[in-house]
Amino acid sequence: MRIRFLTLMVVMALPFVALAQSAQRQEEAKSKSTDPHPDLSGVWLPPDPQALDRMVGYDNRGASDGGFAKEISRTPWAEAKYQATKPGFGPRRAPGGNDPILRCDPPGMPRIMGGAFEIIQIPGRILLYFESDHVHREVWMDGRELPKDPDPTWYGYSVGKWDGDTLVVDTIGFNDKTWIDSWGNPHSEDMHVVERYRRVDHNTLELRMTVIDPKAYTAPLVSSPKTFGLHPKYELVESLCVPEDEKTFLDRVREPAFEKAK
Amino acid sequence: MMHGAKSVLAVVALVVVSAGLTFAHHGLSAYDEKNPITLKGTVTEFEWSNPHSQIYFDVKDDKGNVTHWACETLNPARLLRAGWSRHSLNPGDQITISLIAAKNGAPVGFLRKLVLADGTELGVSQREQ
Repeated sequence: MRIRFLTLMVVMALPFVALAQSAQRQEEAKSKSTDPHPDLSGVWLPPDPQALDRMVGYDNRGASDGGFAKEISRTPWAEAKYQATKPGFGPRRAPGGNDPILRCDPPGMPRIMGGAFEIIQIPGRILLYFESDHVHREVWMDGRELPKDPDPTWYGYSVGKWDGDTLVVDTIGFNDKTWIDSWGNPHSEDMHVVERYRRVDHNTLELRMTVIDPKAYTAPLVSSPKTFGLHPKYELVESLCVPEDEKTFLDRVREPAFEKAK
Repeated sequence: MMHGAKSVLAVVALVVVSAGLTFAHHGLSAYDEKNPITLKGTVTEFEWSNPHSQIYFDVKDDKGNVTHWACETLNPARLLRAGWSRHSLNPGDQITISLIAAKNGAPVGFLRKLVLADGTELGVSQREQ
């Protein structure tokens, strides 16, 4: 009788034990996912530029649209290159121009960081997939060093590490064919870009960038903070810049708008 | 003819063009950013393409003269986020379109927003995803 009672007690208690264990496992899983490294995975969109401009004194466009411009001190080498650029934006803006992206050249770094992108965290790497041009960057998270003499490329070679809750990405190995912003500021092949990503709340990612390029600038250029919102339902669209389409557009729309009035 | 069409049909829009349109690929300095105009027209073609979608439409003035306009707008990704689809405009659609026009007087512009005959409004502001 007594044994039967004990058995009954044990059987009755089992679900509670199981429940407690499951809660403990969930707690462990939770702490495992947030500690030591945050998960930045997701689709991140820049704020609507229309709304953005109502926010006085806030330059979220940052690197992609002249966010560095206020503090720029160019070397003579960079100044000469700058004078040869004809941008569509900023104080020297004019119709036409020679912005490389108008030939559908890749925007490169740090200009690519102005649009929609997705972060995918996998073991040893963080992948950044961009809507613009459908390109991706890979950030090596396995502790490797930056290469000593990388081939110059449009997006460079990136390694990352965690600094507390902040992802720090170092990138070198760029070609010098791109501008750092739409105002026509150049850079050299020696450019080193440091990105710091931090999730300020669940739905908001903040990015701060520093461009270190002593051949072009006498001091590091620091971007204004750029924020991106999490949009779990948004699917990135194929957005390729195709020279043929760009030419059609120029012929039918832009050239007529540029022509001198008759 | 073009200026006639403009003066008869153009209405200065109340919306001030903000620098927010600077996400356009080329910049907007070819256009009169401070003075948007509104035109009524008939769509002839809607080019849903990257990096610039294009709307072509005919505007008839009170004498029956037709001016063929070209209007650039955002790429498909940004139009999707603003609530458009590639079926949003079809040849023959009657539209009331607000744009900033080329400073040189050419019938070319950059879209602010447009309203379809059924009252549907299509703009360039991003909607919640």
